[in-house]
Amino acid sequence: MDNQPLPYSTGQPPAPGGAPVVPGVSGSAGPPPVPHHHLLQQQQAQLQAFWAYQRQEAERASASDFKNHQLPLARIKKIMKADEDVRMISAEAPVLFAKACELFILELTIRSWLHAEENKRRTLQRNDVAAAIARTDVFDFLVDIVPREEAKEEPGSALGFAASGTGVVGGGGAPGGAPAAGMPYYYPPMGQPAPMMPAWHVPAWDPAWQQGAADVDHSGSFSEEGQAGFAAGHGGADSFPPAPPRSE
Amino acid sequence: MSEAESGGGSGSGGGKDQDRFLPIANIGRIMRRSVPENGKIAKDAKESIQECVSEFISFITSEASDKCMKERRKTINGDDIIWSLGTLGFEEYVEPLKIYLKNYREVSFRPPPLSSSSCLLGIHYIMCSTAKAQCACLGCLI
Repeated sequence: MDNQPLPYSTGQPPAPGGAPVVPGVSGSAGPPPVPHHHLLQQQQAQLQAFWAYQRQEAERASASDFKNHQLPLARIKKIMKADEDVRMISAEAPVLFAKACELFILELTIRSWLHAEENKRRTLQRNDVAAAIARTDVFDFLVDIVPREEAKEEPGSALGFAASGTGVVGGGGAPGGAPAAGMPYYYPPMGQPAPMMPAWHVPAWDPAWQQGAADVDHSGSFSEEGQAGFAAGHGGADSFPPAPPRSE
Repeated sequence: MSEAESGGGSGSGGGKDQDRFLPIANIGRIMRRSVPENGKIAKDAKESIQECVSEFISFITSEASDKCMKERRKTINGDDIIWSLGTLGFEEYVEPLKIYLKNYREVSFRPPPLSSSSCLLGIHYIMCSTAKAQCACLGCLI
């Protein structure tokens, strides 16, 4: 399976040997330890780029956009009115919901795609959606809609949960132990740059660790359950950079 | 532009399940934008997200509806939805949607200037006394 990066990766050339190499290590043989929170920063920034792009798009919305929506307004209204307490709905409400649902779908899909990438898959599956929901606090209301099965993380997962299968806990903590920010520890597989990227991709992205940025202490942002999940899952992660520099 | 429709049951005949969801084709199209060109989306993933979107609408609507009831208003408007999104943790959505709503309102409620000007359909409406974004001059009774 080819080793293509995320749509919004740095697009670095493949490392020698083809093994996944942490970005910022240009050409060196072994991956040096890279703080996980820098990856988190990168992903956070990517999401911020996504939102900045959406704000721009909203500014550029023209009259015609309000007539031709991506989602049918009548159906949205029907779903709204399924709630008995709902009486009258102004004309702008379904229009706004059409846009809000678009943002929602985009965000949930991006987060799900991250999970697929971690498992080196090119196909987004239901369990990716479940993972994204589990990892993101704001999606808690969806936990029963797409139940998370007690599935093992797939072998070769970039999270390094490979052999043990203990990384994923169904009802308990999210496997990535995602903090409120909702992004897992993640090493984007490095390969040739992806030819096509989503419109909101920031091509000139320059991750902090490339500039040799000092360690930012983000340890406070990770939840307890996340740490436990990682401690458990790092047994078989030989081929990946070692665990984050904190007590395990 | 307020619609005087009452709430209550959906009233769709035959109990069609699909009325509870947005069309999967539209959802798939939006999902595609978040995924690289060579990425694929499994059908069950689309269906999951389809269910999630309906739940999202219900979730936000419920909060907006509660707000309206507390404030003794009958009609849920765009501001209620934006407020609900912010309250329920979707803060990132607030800014883009505020801008979007502002633009929508400008288009919808722009009063017709008295000089020659056309509505969105390109039909002069200086004769028409109604200020509708989608010009109803073709059908309105002047």
